[in-house]
This record gives sequence, structure tokens and C-alpha cells, in this order.
Amino acid sequence: MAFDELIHQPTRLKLMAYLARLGPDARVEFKKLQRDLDLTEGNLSRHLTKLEEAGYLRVEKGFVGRRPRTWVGLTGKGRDAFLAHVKELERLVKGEGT
Amino acid sequence: MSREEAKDLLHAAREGETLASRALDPFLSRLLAVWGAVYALGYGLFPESGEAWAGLAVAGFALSFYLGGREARHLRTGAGRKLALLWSAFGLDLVALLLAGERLAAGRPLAINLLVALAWMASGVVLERSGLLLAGALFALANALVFALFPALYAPLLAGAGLLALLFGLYRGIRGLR
Repeated sequence: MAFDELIHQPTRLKLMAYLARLGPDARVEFKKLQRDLDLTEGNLSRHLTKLEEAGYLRVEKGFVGRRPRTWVGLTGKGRDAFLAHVKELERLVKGEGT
Repeated sequence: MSREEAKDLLHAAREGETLASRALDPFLSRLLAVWGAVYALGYGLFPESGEAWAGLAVAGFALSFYLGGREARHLRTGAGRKLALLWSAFGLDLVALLLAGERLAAGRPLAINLLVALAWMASGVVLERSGLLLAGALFALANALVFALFPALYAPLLAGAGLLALLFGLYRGIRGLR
């Protein structure tokens, strides 16, 4: 199986791992994600856009009170892609691939 | 891709997972500070007063659920929802124990604290945090031992434990703010 070039980038892989670990149906607010992963707003936005375009993430915009908020969650497709990619990496580390 | 590169990438993935497993830490620190304050005040100042304890417990629960609601603005997970249900059930049991009042006599504080220990252990299971599970188990064991062997020290030791929990919660909370 081939590596997923989109998730392959370390920051995106870390981001996907973070969301996958939170469990299915989990949603995290943009600012918290930015703080926890220690990323700049622009950097995080770029990665989210790429992953959303691939259908790996769902990004929802809304309001809490009068404040605009952006929520991010992993889709089923994203979870599958992440798990497959990690499996492939593990296989390589174990010396079963090239 | 080389094996070393794959190792580095797996490391990045594990790092992401670790960060996610700590996502609720600031909230847990605040909870620890709230309940540490409840214990320090309750056992330190009003060890014998059921009314004062009931008031403190209600205030503790109200503040805990307020903090939980605030946290849910930033993070919503299945584990978080289970935690809210679990602590609601715990609150219900606590009310039942408070209502049982004098019939439980001297055993009431122990019964309440064993329930607290159970709530911490169950939270540890829900959040997959072995530290919480261990803390709950040690709390239950320490409570039973002190209650049986040194009953006169029960209230002062719990007040001290509450103060320590308050300070630790504040320290973790402040450190978490960086």
C-alpha cells in the first residue's frame, strides 16, 4: 500500500493523530487546536484547508454567544486514512517494506 | 522512505496523540482546585456541620458543571459527555447520602469519600488516564485506613489533603497557562 502524501507531512500527521486520539465525533475549537499543537494561525489554517479539501476533516463555523468560532473534527475517511498511514509506517519501521 | 524517516514520522504521530490525551488537563486542574477548596474548607472549618457540607458540595458541583460547560466550548468528545453523565450520577448519590443524614452517623464522611474515590477511578477509566485511577484507589485505601485506625485524625488529614489538592490544582493550572 502507498503512503498518503497528504498526511505524510509531519505537522499534518501530528494534527491527524491529535484528532484521532480524541475519538470519533470529537470536535475541537480552532484556538485550542492552535494552542495545543503550538502552531501559528496561518500555518494551522493552511493545513486544515488541505485536509478539509481531501475530505479528511470537517470544519464548521458558528457562534458561541456573539463570538465566532471554528470547530474541527476528523471524518470517517480521515480516520481510515490516518490509521492506514500509521500502519504503513509501522510496517516500514519493522522492516517489512521499503 | 528510509526506516529512520518512518520512525520520525511515527514519533510525530505519537506526539499528537499524547497532546490529545492531555487536552483535558487544564480543566482537570481547575476541578482539582475546586474540590481541594471544598475539602480544605469543609474538613478544616466545618467537619461536623452537615448543612455547611451540603452547601459546599452544591457550590462545588455548580462550579464544576460551569467549568465543564466552559470547556465544552473548546472541546467536545465522547469521553467528555460520558464524564458529565458520570459526575451527574455521582452528584445524585451524594445527595442521597446527605439526605440519609444522621442514620449513617459517623460513617457518612467515609461513605461520601469512598464515593468520591469511585468517581475518580471511573473518570480514569473513561479518560483512559491511569493516574486518575491510581489516585482514586489510593484515596479510597487511605480513607478506610485512617477512618479505622486514626479516627481523630480523619478530618484534619482530609483538610490537609484538600489544601494540597487546591495548591496542586492551582499550580498545574497556572503552569498550563505558560
